[in-house]
Amino acid sequence: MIVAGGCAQPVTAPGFLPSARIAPLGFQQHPWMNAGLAGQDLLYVTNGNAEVTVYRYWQYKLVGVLTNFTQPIGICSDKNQNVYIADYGAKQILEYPHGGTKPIATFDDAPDSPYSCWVDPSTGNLAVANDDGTSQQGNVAIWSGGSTEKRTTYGDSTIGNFQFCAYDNQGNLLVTNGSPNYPYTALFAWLPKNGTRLIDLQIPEAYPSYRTWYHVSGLQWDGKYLVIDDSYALYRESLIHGQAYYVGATYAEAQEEYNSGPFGLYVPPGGEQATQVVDGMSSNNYGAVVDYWKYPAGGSQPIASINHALDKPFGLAISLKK
Amino acid sequence: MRRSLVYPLLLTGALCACSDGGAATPFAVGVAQRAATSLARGPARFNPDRHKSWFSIEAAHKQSPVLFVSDSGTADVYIYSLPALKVVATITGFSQPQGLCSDEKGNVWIADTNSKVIYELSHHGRLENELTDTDGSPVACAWDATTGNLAVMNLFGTASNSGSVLVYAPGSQTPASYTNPAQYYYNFGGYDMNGNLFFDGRDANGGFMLSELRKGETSANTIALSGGSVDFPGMVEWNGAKHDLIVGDQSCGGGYQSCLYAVSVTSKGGRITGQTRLQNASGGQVCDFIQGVLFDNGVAGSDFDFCDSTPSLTALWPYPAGGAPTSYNEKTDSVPVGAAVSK
Repeated sequence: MIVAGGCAQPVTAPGFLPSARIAPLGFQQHPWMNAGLAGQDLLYVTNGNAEVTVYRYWQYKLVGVLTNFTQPIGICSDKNQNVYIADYGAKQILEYPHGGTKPIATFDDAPDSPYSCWVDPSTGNLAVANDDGTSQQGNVAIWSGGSTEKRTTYGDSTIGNFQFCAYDNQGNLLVTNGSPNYPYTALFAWLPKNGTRLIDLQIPEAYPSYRTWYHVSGLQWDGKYLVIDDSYALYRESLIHGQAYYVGATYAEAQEEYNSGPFGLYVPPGGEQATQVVDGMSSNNYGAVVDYWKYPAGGSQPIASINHALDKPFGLAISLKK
Repeated sequence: MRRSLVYPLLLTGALCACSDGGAATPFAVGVAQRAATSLARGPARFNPDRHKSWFSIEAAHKQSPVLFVSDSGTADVYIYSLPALKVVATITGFSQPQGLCSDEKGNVWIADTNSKVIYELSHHGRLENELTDTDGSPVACAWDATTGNLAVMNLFGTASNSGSVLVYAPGSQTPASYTNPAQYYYNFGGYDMNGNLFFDGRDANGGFMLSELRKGETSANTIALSGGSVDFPGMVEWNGAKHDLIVGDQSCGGGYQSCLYAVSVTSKGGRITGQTRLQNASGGQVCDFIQGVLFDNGVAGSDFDFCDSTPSLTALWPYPAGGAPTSYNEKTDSVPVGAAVSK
């Protein structure tokens, strides 16, 4: 049901902000969307040209473009299939209905800069990871029950800025700073359900001889496990009562990659676990592409690709048919 | 499969070979230095903790009872004096140390979940043995005084399947595997004086389970609980003085607080006969008491306090009275998990 959003791989340092070309308002095309999409699974992609392109998930066909953003990065969906777009540059999160072109809610995140988001299906809480760069320490902002008025922030001096977040099915929120500056160690914390503070958390990796995460580019929930996107692999972790346990990994080999973003996961309606993973990337040799892979199998070749109407794709989210 | 004893992360500077006849340590006898180890409250930045282990003179020489405590946040194991709970040693080199248990020799077994290894340390912290677990993720252990067997609880299997109990005979690297078909997650366990193993965990739906593997049997059975309920599995220890089980609940009443239950076990099942509530140093309710161990009319263990800003701590509480700790140390812990007494 829920498909992860997240954010693309950082390109520049420091701060690892996506190298988006910020298109000034007034020069963008008007948003548009094909009619009759209620019965279609849709894939939403945030792009470097400040557009959000929308595709029919199974047909890989462009069916809409959302505009009027400053710098859209993270993207996520909720159990009602509404899509939330974190506009980093505008310091706000816009909520769109499935297949719609007009936002139905605006979450003011100022003075913080939203990098990614996640919605807890059990409470409707909207969690946003804020990366405020060097101007101030970031935080995790949560809008209770999805109300645009009830915003609470949580900080962690150990972590500083936050880039990714994801809820598990118990209402616990996992957060990370993603790909920070030197010493390039991604750190994690969790917010217990109804908790009052972030708790630093050690996450075991596949190789127990070293346990340093150095390039986390996304966090997701696959329906059964929390999934950490680190370089070319997705690592599944089970978070049980404040202890994290490594479960397994999915390897999806890719072509030359630049700006490779986080993965999105397709969880079928009523399904227990995701069956596909999509990821966006761009490179000098292969251009911009969104690849589809089997999950959790992964593989050496994608099973499908989208390579039109993309510009440095960053975040991905799937909104299922109604 | 037994690992080589030159496993670099755990020997020669990581695990101590102290003055009980072992090799020379990095810290000369007569000098007690505190090497840089884990942060008191923050997580280790790099794991395993590659700092050198540290041992005080007291840890190196005294034979009095001590308390081993594992910390999955710092990836270290601490040794505390009893009953004062002063840190007398820090042992590094683990990946994810969790449940502990001890044997009659005073050796302490440590389930390192992410490494899938169970380490045996002497009373003075010397590495004595390693057992490799290829079946699942080991989170706890129990030692059988009647046979010398070591039971290891695997939270879940390597193929993301249900967990199990592995029983290693003395000197064996090949365990026998036992399950309760109704149980999915296996947490903590303890043997009674007759060699029967009790262990807790959860079913596939997350419901609490208490099981028994009777001595000589090939499969474990569910113990139906009456007189109350347990929300999230915690410690399991046989209380010989009371002829009952101590079962911990990490989410007493379904919330963020822990308590202990006394469970009387008969052929008809298990009946909760008492509850013990523990307080932290500030008088509040203990948040997450993961594993404790009976010691001298009390119970020793740690409070992993993720509930509020109260520090996590290792303490000794009266049992079964509970209440305020009689001694505690709140300067060490990050994510304290397991506890075992070495006599």
